[in-house]
Amino acid sequence: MEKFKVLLVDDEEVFVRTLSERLQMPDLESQTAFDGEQALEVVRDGIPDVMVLDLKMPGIDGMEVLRRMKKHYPNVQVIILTGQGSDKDEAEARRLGAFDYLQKPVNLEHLIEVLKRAYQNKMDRPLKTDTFSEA
Amino acid sequence: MSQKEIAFTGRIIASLSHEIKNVLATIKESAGLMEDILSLRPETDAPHQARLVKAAGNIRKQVDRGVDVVMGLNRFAHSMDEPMAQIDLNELTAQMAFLMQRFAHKSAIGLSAAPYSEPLNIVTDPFRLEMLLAAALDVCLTRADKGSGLVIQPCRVEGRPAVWIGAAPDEPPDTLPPTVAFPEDLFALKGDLEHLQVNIYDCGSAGLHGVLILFK
Repeated sequence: MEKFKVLLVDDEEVFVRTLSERLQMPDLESQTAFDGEQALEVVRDGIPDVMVLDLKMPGIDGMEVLRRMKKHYPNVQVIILTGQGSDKDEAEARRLGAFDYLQKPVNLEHLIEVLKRAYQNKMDRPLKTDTFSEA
Repeated sequence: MSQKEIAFTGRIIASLSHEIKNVLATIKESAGLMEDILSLRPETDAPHQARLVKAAGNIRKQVDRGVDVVMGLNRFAHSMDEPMAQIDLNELTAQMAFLMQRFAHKSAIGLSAAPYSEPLNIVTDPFRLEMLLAAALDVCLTRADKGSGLVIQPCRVEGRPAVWIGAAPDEPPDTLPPTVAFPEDLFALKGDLEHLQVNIYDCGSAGLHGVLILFK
């Protein structure tokens, strides 16, 4: 598998930095963002293959980031990783196109497995046109 | 408590339990990172390496335990969301066994839940039903012998949904025994029965060691 880019988005800075450090692997490059706005800025500078996204964040919340990502960057696979989601949130996230919905804390091995599946899913599907200027 | 007070309590507990999950997630990843670093060169004889690996593993195990507890707390908090909601008795009885585990442990009694073969959905007041089941479990724990086992399980009695709390190996009755009586030690809860649309039967007089909560 070639190297793929993952963007981790969570306002729990220590959590997301530590997770990013643990995800330093030969076939994976991880970046971090600490709120929705920053995540969209990072995406504008370089589109990731997969985004791991918390739902409850100050400012633009995760659900809105997901909505914008699927609208403007439909090829990016978004995995929700939250400690606060309800069944209703999960249904809504999946309806908006989230690749998977995980609860915090997650086992690293499971997260890596889902990340690889998400990347493979991206590679297996015909690419859609990104409309990043509007995001 | 009024429904407004119950909903407020539930909202605050749910919010705090979500925050605890975030804390546990950070602790888990930090312990995991320690393990990752320590495993990079396992052959080295770094001072206290084995003790550090063991300590990191213990942190991870305790986090997993904490997650189970906080998930139970979170489900309990969400039972206060609505005054009436559809619930699956399989899920509710598993939750009650979890919530009452500590009380059972203190009484030296094994408490477990046994699911019904299919979902048993009812519309009820989830919080008040939990209170009723907790009170019934308290009574059964008081009556049970130390070292014995108690089972809470959904069932159908005369086609109606029910919850059976009984001492193993007694099984819930298929039909309502004619001699069943209202348990006197649950008398304080009699006011909730109408609201919850249930009847409670003490099956001891029918030769069964258990209490039956039957939905109307």
